[in-house]
Amino acid sequence: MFALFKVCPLYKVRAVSFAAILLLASCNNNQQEGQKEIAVETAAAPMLFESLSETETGISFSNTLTETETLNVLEFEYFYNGGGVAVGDFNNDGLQDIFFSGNMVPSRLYLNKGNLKFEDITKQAGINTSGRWASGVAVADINNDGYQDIYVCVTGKVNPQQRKNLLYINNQDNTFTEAAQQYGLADDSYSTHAALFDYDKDGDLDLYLLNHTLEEQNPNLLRPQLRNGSGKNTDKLYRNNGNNTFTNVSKEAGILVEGHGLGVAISDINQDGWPDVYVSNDYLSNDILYLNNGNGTFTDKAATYFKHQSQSAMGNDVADFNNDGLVDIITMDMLPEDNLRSKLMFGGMNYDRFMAEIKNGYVPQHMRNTLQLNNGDASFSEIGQLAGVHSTDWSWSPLLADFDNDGYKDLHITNGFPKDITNRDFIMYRMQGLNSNVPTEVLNKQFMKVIDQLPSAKKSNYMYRNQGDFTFSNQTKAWGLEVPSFSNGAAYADLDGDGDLDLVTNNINGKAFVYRNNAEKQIGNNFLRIKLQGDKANAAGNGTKVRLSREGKEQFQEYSPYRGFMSTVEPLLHFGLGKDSKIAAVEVTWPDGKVQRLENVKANQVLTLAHKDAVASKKPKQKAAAQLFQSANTKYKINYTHKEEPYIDFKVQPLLPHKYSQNGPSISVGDVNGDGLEDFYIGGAFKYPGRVFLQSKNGTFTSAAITDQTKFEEDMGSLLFDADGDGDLDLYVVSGGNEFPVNSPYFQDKLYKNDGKGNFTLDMQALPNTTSSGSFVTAADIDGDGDLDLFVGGRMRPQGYPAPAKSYILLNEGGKFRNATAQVCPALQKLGMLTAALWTDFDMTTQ
Amino acid sequence: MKSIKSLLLLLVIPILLGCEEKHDQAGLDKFSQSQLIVWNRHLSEIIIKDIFTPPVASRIYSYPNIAAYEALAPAYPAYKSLSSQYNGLSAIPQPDNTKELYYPVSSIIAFSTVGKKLILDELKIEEYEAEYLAELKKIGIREEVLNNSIAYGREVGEHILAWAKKDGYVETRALTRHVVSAKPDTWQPTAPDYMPAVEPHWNKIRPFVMDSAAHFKPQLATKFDSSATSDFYKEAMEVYSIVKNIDEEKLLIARFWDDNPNISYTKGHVTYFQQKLTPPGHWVSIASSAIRKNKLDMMEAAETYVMVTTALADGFISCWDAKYAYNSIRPDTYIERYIDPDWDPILQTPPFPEFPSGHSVISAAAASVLTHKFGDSYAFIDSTQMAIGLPVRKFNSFNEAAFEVGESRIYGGIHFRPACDLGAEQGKAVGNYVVSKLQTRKAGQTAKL
Repeated sequence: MFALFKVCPLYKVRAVSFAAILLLASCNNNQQEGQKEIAVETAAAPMLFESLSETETGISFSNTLTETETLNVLEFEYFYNGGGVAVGDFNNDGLQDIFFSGNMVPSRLYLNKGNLKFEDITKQAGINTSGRWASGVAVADINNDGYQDIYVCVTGKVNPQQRKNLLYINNQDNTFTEAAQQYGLADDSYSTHAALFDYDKDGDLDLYLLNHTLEEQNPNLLRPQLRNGSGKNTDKLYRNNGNNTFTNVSKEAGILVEGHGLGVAISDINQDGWPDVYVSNDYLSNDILYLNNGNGTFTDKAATYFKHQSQSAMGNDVADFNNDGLVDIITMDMLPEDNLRSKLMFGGMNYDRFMAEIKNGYVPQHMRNTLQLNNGDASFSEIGQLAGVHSTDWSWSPLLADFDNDGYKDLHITNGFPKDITNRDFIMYRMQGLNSNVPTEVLNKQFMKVIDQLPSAKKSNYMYRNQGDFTFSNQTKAWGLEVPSFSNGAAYADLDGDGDLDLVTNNINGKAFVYRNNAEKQIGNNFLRIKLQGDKANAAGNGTKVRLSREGKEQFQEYSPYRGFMSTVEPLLHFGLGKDSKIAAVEVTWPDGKVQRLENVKANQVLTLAHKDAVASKKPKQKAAAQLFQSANTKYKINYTHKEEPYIDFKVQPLLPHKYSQNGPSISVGDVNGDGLEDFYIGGAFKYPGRVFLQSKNGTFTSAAITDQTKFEEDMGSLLFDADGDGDLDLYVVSGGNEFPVNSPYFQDKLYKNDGKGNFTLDMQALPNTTSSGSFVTAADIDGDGDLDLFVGGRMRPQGYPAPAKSYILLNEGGKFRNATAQVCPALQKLGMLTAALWTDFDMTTQ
Repeated sequence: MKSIKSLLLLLVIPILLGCEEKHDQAGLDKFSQSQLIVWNRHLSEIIIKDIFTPPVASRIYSYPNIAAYEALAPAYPAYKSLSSQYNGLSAIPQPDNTKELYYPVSSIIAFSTVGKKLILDELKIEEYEAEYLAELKKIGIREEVLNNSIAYGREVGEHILAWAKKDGYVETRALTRHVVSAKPDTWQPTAPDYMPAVEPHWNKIRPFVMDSAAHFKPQLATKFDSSATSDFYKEAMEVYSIVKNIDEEKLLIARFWDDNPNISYTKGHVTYFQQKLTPPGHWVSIASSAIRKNKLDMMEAAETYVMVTTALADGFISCWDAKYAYNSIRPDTYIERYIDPDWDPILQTPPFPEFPSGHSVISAAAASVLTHKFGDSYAFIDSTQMAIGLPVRKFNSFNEAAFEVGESRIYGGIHFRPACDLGAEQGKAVGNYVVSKLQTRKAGQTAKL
């Protein structure tokens, strides 16, 4: 954390009354404002979504699971992972049909008959997945005959024969023929989902298969992630041979990193024109970012692109949510929203384990949803908490799509788990009295009894409205989606052709949800839907990018319908337009680089863009926009790395929210040698001296340690100000930190006197005894005697968080300071844990 | 109306009791003889459910048994108070001679009074106590005697608690947690739960009879070395090959003495813990069975428990002092790092440093005390683990059982041999010191059977 102290204006301060507004770490006011805002929105948007019953839709699918003594969540850890939803127009009538995958019940195919009426044609279609634990569903025209086929992933603790994935080839007459074996896609991995994309840009669709394994006893057992393809839970890549057969090319393509895959997305994340793969992995295994090298191989770059990830990542979505033209990434985890449940579900993580994971080569992982904001420079910033979408309980599918057609993609999340197995009470105490040294049948009976007693985590799904400012507001209730359920896969599609996105979810032990979106009536925003007509064997146009520009606003989407969790969304690109009835420009870029640009496009239509209308791009490849800020360390010769000695605050206070021993470095800026150029001081941590950086005429800096002695104080805030009235800037350094016991001599603050040339000498006599673990210092003339007095803020009682710390008022008496806190403002002696203060004349008395 | 009725009842009951108060001395004596066995079992059950770690469990066993001993001793002229023999224990309050007491009741009440404050589930102790008192009344005990006895038991219990309060336990709760070192020879958190190290400051607990925690500190036998030709490596290879070639018998031995109070089982996102007896609990159970089999009277039972639990408690203090002084690496970490990255021990590695083996130390300590009491050729059947579905084991002596404990830790893959061998020596020294230090009988009264 940086504390920046600008010194110059302080010279001008003459007489300001003592009115320090203290910025404490409290956000009560903000919260109230936030609530008000939501209230206003609620009134404006009543029940956007309307739940449709089975009788209305004809959709009766329920992913019903029946626990037995041998088949339950203790025997089969992915028992409650649920199934997917796939949307596709299987009879080419322009209406989107729906496929639900079933785990212990057969999967179902429903034809859209219009007006949100559906017909179950599973049986006559020849689709029969009974006896297979169907998981993810991917829709694509795999044999390139103009009709959508269905690839069904299969898993389960069964023999490999029963785990073979299924490929239903569309016979063009509402019937299908299973032909996975024939196509070379009858893979018997433990599959979660599949995504089709043209990784080698040969014009046809290849298949990425997302896998997990159920053969590992403890997937959180700490060992380095296997990166050589030997893991049983390694994903696979199948290349399309162009003759209705596929070949497993995983090894040569570098698909070698293991992971308990629960989410896969295809997107050109580094914008080099080649589709990349993002894989979210459950348990200890890190997520994978396979960048397409453009030569048939991939390289995992997750460790360099992300600073941290979700711990037990489930589904994901990759889409541009802040309309900057760059795709962002969201992954799901299990953190509950309310305090009680978040404590009950507290994961098994501790500091030592966390550090051991890092030592084993893992990118840090945290139990919460992560929203990775694309910085456009091969890095992402995780803002899930800032955006307000990090805690949605046991979550599966995130879908970023514009549900209210206001031009910003909102966020729908499914969640729920029928047995609350990560509840700490269950983990610690529920098995008491259970005897493991008995025959398996007896043990299973005991387990069943415990499982039966386990409560469920039946939670409402979440719907967040994108507020256009990097944050989301929870509209679950206001938009009519507050119904507790165990929902897994989900897909959006404009099922009724009214220009907004309806929602379908696959639920465990409950009827599938079908929600009609009433945006057209409730909100009346405009929209543009784009249907792609690709070429050759990629008629759907997977990997095609569409960019909308309208009055300085930009919207971006990339076509890949495999999103969220185990699901396939509608085969169109849907853009909300707010009140705009025209789009200045629509630009489509096909995977082969051909571009078509349309101007003044009318809103509220389904626009078909065909590859044949595009031309080779004349524009040179767009260079990434220059960043506002760029590192200038080399240019200015400021090569400084702040270092800290390891100290683990948690070993003293295990419940601390974060370390307090590493709050530095601070920096203060001022012209210390009177040459008219700004210099600065950087505080040093325990055992590291602070350094003074002097600016030379050419703008570069040279630095020197402020002392050559070993110093033990932890420098916190500092201030350059004229303490002794000799016209130069002296340096006050606050000592703080959490490493030392209460009243340690290392909490003594220091005042360095300047000889006018930027040489500082410690004045041992200048300061009274200070024993507080401090954080900052700020100056003003509070007694009107023409010199600067000081307020020194106390940060914390060392090793005693959150007890308040002493703060000080130091009166300047000719360059020496006297502690006058008790006389001037006794309340400051125990004010709290301060991080900043501001002098201001709020009553305008010029005091 | 209601209040008048109860008022009448209040008046009537004392009159009835006063008229024909039953007091069955023989029945009470018969009942009381086994009560310390019963109460130590109660304590074990609560320790299991409250999930205390082994060193903490040893502390929980020791104080109630000392209280029980002290509250019973006044009834037995041959026995001495241990007050001046324990570190820091001042003279025990003496009973009022003008009052009539039944000391076995005082003894149990002293036990429960102390026990209640050392565990978490206080309600359970209250329940057990209510059951106990109801049983006494059912047999027949004069109200006045009962009340006098309870009062004295409480008094002794409070005295012991006041002493216990100053043993450093409370203070150690607030001390710094163990910091994992990066040095190659040091303990690292181990699979599957990577739990933080247990009780790094247990050497700051006041020893019961030892001069200091470091009184019997063993020397580290083998210098850490990762090279394949080193002695340390060879010791690791011994563990590695034993685990690799484990047979039914060794597997059973490892499990029989596992005594890990909190074992986790993981299946995907499902993790659950199962609790069982601690190592000190196992030895209290062995002591109980010897007491029962020899039909010891209550005083001698109290004497046996006090000796055994003190040896266990000092054994832990002594062992933990060495554990954190040496902070040595577990086989799990060493073997995974230098021999076989996919290696797993048979037993889950307990979360604290390797040397010396805690179970070896405290088993040898308890065995020494029990040998002193029951002789070196006392053959017995240990049926402790039947409760968790394991068969009984037969031993020719306590020392033989203690020796098997050491071997079991190697079979289980959680200790190297020197930790067990030197741990046993350390434990024996602690046990013998307890025997020499605690004088339970007055001069001329034999302490042996």
